[in-house]
Amino acid sequence: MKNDELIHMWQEGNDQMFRDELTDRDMITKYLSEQTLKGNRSMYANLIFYGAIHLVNIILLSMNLAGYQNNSSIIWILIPQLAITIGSLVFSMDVFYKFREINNYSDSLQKLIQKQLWFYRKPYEIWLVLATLSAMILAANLNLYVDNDNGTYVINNKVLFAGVTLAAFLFIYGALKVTSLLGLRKLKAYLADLQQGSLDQAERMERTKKRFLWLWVAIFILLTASMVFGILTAIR
Amino acid sequence: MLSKQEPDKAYFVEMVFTHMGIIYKICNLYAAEEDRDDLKQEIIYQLWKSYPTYRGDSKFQSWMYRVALNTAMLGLRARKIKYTMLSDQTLEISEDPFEHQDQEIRINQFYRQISKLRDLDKTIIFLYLEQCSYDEIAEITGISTKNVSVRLVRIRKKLRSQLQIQTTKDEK
Repeated sequence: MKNDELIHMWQEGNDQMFRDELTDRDMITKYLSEQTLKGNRSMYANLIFYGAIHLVNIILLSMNLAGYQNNSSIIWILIPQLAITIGSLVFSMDVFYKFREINNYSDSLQKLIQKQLWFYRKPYEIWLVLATLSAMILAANLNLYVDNDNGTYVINNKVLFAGVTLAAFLFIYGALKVTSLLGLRKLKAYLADLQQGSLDQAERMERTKKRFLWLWVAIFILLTASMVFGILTAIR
Repeated sequence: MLSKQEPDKAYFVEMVFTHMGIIYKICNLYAAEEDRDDLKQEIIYQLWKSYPTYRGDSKFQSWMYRVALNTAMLGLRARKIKYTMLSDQTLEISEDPFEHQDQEIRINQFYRQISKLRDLDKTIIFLYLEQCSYDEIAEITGISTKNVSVRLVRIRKKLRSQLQIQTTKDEK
């Protein structure tokens, strides 16, 4: 069989295959306003949600700075938090912009794959840590604001406080990471495979994904249950 | 060329309408039958979204191949499709069983073999079959012209051999 015959077969096949296809100009115009990438929308929603948390944090931190202005030890805890929050907000905006950029499909395929892989391995991973920190800062500052006793804030058990804070950080980060793992592991593997020109890694992952999904869910439920139990015990 | 701030929608729609065949073919290769309409919509939407970046220094058709193929391979829905149905899809070509029957069987086999290729290989052979030059294929995929040439030799050899094997089996 000659190469030209491949092209001939292709053209002939298409002529027959698409003879009944109907997409008129009105339908094309209608499609221009319909965004269908649902996965991207949830990512955008996440970025906007944590962006809003950053803004709330800045307001809360400003209020606490005013409320604890005579308490130098608290002030020196709040100032770094404000700096982290502002830095994190700027970084999040950059992540938002970069996410838009990697979803502009007018680049070459290889360039797009490289950009997407870099995004999910570097800025997105950093953003996960910063998003966790912003949730922690929100919780801590709400506490500081509600329990402000004329500019003083008392921690009865410092070791327990540090332990709970660390556990909460790990828990929030773990939850974000698990969600991201479930959604992005396949994507990362697929991109890496595309880069190498094969689908071995992604196909293997697809087979094992179903097997491990229940394990992730079980661990998450167990951790949530222990946390709720811990809180209930502490309240009593 | 059109202004970047205000893309000419009517012109864009006309150009997409003229080259709609590209979108049909890509949907056929990358999506299962029930997902093709969704992919078609998504490609048209992404084309419109990327249109301000079209500088007019390349052919509209080449730019359209690039955006449409990237959407098919990297769009989320396309990935979902890829892992479920693609290699088992059947391609119904004609409703009339007496019309060019032998040729239909061969075309059917041909499409099936292409849809089973790895994604990058599928893109390269698709562009080759669409009679894009090696330089155009290299520009769209981002790999070197030499690499395109090497891969094409391998893919065509593979396709020819698979088609011949299948023909022999059918004859038996």
